[in-house]
Amino acid sequence: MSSIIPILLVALAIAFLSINKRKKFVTVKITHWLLVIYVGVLLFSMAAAPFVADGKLHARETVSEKELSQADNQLHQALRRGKIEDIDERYLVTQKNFDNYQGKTLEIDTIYGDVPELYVERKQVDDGKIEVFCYASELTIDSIDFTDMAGEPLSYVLENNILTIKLPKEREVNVSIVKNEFTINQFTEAREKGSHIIVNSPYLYIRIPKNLELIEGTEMSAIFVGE
Amino acid sequence: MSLMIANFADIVKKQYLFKLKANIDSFSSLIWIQLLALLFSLGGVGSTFASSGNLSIEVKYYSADLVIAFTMIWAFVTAIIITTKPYRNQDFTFVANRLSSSMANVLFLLTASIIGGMTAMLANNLLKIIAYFLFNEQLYSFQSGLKEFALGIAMTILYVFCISAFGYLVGTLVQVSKLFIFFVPVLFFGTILLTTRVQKEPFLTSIFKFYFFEPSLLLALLKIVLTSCLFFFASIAILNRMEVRR
Repeated sequence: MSSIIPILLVALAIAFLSINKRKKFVTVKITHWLLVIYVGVLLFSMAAAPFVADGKLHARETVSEKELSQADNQLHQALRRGKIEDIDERYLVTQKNFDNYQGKTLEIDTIYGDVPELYVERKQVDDGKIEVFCYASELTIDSIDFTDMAGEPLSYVLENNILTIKLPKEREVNVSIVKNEFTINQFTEAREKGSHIIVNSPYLYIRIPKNLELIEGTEMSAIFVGE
Repeated sequence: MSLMIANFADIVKKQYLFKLKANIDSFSSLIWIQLLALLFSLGGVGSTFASSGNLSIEVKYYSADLVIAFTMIWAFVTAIIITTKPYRNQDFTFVANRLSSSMANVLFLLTASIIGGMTAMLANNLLKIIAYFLFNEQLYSFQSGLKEFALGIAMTILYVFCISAFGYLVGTLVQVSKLFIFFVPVLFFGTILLTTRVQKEPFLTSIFKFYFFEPSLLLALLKIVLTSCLFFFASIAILNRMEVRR
């Protein structure tokens, strides 16, 4: 619809000019040409702009802060109860398995600035398999979901019976947003909204074999599920 | 002695059309000033930065806010220019009086505000296209439907018109006494400096908030229209008291 309006305006302008040409209303000067070209470019931009910007936005999901908070609460509850099967797959960022673990103890430590919330589930069997799940880490900018651009929030290294949680390489996310002008925002909800960037901290969920002794590192504090 | 009876509306219309033709070059400056504002807006009119863990997020905002601001400055300057002596002397080529001349000026400024306001709002799309093709920016638009776009155009026109009304008043005051050339800037900067010294919110900030932070559309309309009328009435009243060809 918005693309049709400029075409209509151009048609009207041509009709208006052709009528006035006969009446010799104006002597055409450079300024007239400048104005016609400038307005023409602006109208052309108006018709073309939806194909440039809006199409990409529609591909992205918009989420309100309330929805985000609710989803985070539900995720938190499911992890606390050890019901990871109930969690929507889109919240699972990474899963890593360490098979044939022979050690009697496992120390979990981090060289990560913000300590992630850690949930530990002791399995009923001694299968020598350590399973690490990383959840959430959602990224929303002004209510648009950009989680896919955030990448993996954590990486893990298992050496000498120590599972170290590390940060992956620095990652930059650059987003350009076209917003309404202040003459519109003054009367809409956007007035109260500033720019909001929400990055949820990731949750770690680790399944360990039945008889494995877990040692918490200096910074870490584990929440044992179902105990 | 002429036997023709002069009709006020006809005189105003003739003068208005003449002024539109005579001052057409002011629209060239509008185009250049809007292009300059677009150039400044290419880097974004605002940005936010955040970091969490290994993630650095930079958000750049695009809008035609700067183009609108520059258009307001253009309207202010144009309004001052049309009150100057060479422009006022053109009026004496017509059968006219001070009132008809002022009315034609108001109509010219209204036309200028309509053109300025509409082109300023449309410049947003040009900004999008340039940013997309020139910088290969991935753009996400927050702009909404036609209703809001129409609201934006209407409000921009009114704001530009109000600023031009203020410019017209300043121009008129300067024509009355050249002392106002010093007095107006002194008043402008003086209030900023004085309120900063007494650690109060500057008077200009209060004025800015009074108009631009008004959330009610009806109240904002009332404020802008009444202020514009007040400025124009004051200007016309002052000009009417001036001697002929002064």
